[in-house]
Amino acid sequence: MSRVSRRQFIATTAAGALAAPHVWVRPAGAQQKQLSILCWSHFVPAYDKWFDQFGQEWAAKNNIKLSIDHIPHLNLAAKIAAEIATQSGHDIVQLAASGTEKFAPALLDVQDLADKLGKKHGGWTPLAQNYSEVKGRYHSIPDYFIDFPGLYRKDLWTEHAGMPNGPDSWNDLRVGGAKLKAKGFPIGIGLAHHNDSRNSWRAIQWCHGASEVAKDGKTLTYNSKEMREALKFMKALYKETMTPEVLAWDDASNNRLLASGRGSWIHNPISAYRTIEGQNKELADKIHIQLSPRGPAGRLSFANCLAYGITKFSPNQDTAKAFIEHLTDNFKDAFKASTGYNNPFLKTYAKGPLPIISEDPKLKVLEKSPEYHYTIGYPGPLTVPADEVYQQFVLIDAVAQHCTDKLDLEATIKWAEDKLKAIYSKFA
Amino acid sequence: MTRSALWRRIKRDYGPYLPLSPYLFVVLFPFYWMVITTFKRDNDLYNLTGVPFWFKEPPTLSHIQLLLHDTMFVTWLWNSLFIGVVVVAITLLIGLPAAYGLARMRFVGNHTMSTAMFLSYLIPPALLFLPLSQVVRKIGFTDSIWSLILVYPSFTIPFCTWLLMGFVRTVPAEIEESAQLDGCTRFQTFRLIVIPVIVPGIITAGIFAFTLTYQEFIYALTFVSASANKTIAYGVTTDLIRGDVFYWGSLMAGALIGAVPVAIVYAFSLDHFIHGLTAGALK
Repeated sequence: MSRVSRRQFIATTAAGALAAPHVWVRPAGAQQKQLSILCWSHFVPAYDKWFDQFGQEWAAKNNIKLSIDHIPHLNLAAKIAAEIATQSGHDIVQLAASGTEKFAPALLDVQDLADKLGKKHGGWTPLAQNYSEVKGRYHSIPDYFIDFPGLYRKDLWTEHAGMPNGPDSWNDLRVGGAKLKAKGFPIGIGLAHHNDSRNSWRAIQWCHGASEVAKDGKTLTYNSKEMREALKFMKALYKETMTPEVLAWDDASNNRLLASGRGSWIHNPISAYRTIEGQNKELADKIHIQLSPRGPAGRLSFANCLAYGITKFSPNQDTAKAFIEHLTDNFKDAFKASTGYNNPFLKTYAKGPLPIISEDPKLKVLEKSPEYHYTIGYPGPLTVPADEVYQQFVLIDAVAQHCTDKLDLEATIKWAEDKLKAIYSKFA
Repeated sequence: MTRSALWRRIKRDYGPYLPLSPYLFVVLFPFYWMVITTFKRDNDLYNLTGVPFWFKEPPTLSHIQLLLHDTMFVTWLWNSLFIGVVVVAITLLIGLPAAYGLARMRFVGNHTMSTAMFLSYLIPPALLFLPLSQVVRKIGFTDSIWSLILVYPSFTIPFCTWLLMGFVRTVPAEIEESAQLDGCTRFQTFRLIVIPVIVPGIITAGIFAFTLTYQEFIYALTFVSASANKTIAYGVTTDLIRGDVFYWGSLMAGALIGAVPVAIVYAFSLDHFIHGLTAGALK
């Protein structure tokens, strides 16, 4: 038997190592079309099951090989960024809370599909347009938004605050909440680094007529009389109705407060109610849903929007468009599967009636959600700097420092304004 | 036995363990909390009245059932173990000769290479995942556990090589010289003399490589999408944290079951591991 020399061994091993990746190739597929979708793990697990089944049924009917991947919403942006950087990955990516403005250069212009769907279903709401349009063109197709109503304990608000329908205004919340806190039932609005906190604060400031940026999306408006009023109100609300735990909350904390039976009011999507419904029917019966409170400037609340973008690198763009169209056409089924969680962006659907919420007296108020929900950057468009302000928790950091007496009113305004200027000047 | 004698005996037998008790509490409490949360009913978890450290309602297996039946937990566990074992093998296959070469041989750039190897470990994955994504795509490993097997050695090899270099240096050079005088080649010396002497170090490096791999999240998130290819750290958080809805019981069950393989690895190699750690300290 011939011996292999060390030189031969090294040469063969090196050649093998170089060749191995090329040998490892996927089998050539048949002519079947393919489609891959990246989306979040929905708050309602049953919706994911419905969505996967809905997709597979459509795929089977059209001879398409479909794969749907769910990941946590907080990881979506990083995943999409990585796929865009490598120019490979999913054909359809879900953009949660923001993203169209950021990833627009890598997303397909879907104005044609947006026009088609708008025409078919009564037109898009202004919120949809705000979320998916970049430079006047749709770069994603809005799917649904998550509203932020108020969830309150009817028994407690009736007995201790004399408000059986819950607090209609933010001031009612302050007055009634103080009484309830004294009885051991605080309210809960987060003042920390998580979604609910930054969303609820936006609702409060908008209701006081304040915002960080003007309608043009460029002029900073933080330093205003309205913002001072909003900050003063929030400080009073925190001190009179809440406990310091809200400074260390995450997205699940207000749900827990309500589920514990100790919380009297939270500002949250109905996921908190749905979870309690599955765990503690007796407590769920006492929890009612109300419109997000109104303020001196009206009733405005925050919408967490979700849309589907088609990647420019996708080799299956037509298939992707066909799927999104099919999904949008079946919005009512999707709405039902989400148990009333996914709010519509298209006017025909928004007009109602909608399954589940229109039939349940407790949830019927949610029919009004499309009328008063806005998103990042309001009253301006959702721009990249507006999103950066959102992602860096600038507004909630300012208000938390004010509420905890770390900064007085003027110092808070200056602190936040400096931060905003630094961010907006990068994109000027 | 008198009371004072009994007290002296207790002091003698158990006194040395007293300073350890705060440490044990800190280390073991999370496991206790995981166990109790795994078996608590949801209502019990959210019930703020009374002592939270024990059951107020009868225990339940529903969280474990949800974990095992409604998620792909078993697949994730298997993926993590498989990836961990393969990565440890690759790490040791490459790291051992590298450590030996850097620790023993004299060549230009030796010191620089040693330092560079260590520094490469300090580069955070958040910076590396984009270029590595391109490598993974070009090789064709996208959305496959092989992408993780390819990528994980990028942080386990530098760390383990650096660790093993310390162990190789503890082997007296005279032993190797004696072996070479007796006719051993350099490779034979490495294989027959050095490796058996540094077994505790190899086990220590292997355990570190395994645990680093087992707990990794950001690469798994970037390179893998399909549920069937997820690892335990990634899969559990993906399927059991849904926005503001946390499946606490199942999350804790996943963490608890996931900790078992690591605990077994440590338990079976504890003596070698401690020897490996202290060998470096005593040198």
